[in-house]
Amino acid sequence: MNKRSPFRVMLNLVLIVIVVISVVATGFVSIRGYCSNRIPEVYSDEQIAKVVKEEYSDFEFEMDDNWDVETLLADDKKSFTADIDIIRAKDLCSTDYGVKLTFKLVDGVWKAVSLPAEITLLNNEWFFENSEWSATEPDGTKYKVSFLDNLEAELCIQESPDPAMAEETSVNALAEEMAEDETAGEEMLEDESDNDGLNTDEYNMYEGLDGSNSADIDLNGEESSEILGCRLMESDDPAFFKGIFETAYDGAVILTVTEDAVKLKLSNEGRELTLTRE
Amino acid sequence: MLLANNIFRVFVIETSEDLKTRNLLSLCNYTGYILLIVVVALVSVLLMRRANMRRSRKYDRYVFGLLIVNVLFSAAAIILSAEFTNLLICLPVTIVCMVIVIILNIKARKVIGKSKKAMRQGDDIYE
Repeated sequence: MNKRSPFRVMLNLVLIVIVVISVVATGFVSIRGYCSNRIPEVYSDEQIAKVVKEEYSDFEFEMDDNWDVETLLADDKKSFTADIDIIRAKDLCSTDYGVKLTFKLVDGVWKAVSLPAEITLLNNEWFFENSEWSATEPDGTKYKVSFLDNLEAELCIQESPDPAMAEETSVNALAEEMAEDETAGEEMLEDESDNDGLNTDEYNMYEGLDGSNSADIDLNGEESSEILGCRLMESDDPAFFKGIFETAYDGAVILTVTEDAVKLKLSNEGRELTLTRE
Repeated sequence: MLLANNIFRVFVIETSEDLKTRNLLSLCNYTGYILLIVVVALVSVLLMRRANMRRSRKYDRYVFGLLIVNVLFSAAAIILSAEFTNLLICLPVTIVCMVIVIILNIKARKVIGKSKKAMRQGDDIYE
């Protein structure tokens, strides 16, 4: 019969405990080692975009932003860089923002370790040059803005004639014609050079773009137009341009070009008109 | 087997380009360490059972001491190999541990291996 002394039983127990501890410890170290040494797949574009949105929560992201993400895994496969371009395309402006992040493998998980302070503006391209925009008010007055080169803009205000005034003007014109017929014989005797300045129906005071304005006013009550010019100034915020047309009669008209709209603020009435592309 | 697993790890780290393959090989590598300690544990328990067949008390300290130290050094060698990726650090320690374990195993085998014959001869009287 196999009799065991208490000392041997104790040695058996110690050995078994050590064996169990060894197996558990090795298993733990192995699993932890595998988790920390395995290299997960490089983040997808969506995951990188999510990280950027979390890290730069003060940046105003928009739903229709186009994300262009380029990743480059390091040779040791323990880190990768993500070059992120955020392209915001609007009707009148395409803005390109960029940020470059470095992700490092920490305990088997990618962590962003190199974070620039902010997302930088890389490029800002405007598309309004050489385009024409217009809006017509209910009273028939038409505002037409033409963008020229070098941030110059031209505003043409075409006012529709007042019907009552147009009728009165046409009667006056008929009376004048009759008077002219009666005095025609007398005028034939006078020097032809005296007639040069008398038949002026309209006057033109176009002065150019720098604070210029010109006006074609039809004294017969027909459509009259006023052409104004200005140079656009880029605001501190690169998201819009602003120009002020100085009118001869109604004060200033403020032109604002944002990323997706051209607007005119008629200072005399405080109204704002949104123009459409022609 | 431990040395082979360590060399296999170097292969996994240095040569594998594809991440999925690398992760799979790495999993095999670490599973290998677990299997090794399981083998050590089984062998130790079997040796313990074999040693228990012998009733001679004077061998108790010696035989079970050998088995305990054997398990401890085996576990140390495997854990160090699994923990440290750099072979320059863990390989010398592993080799020292393994040499000690092999020597202890040979000694234990000499002692325990005699037991059957000794039992047959009736000299395993429990004192």
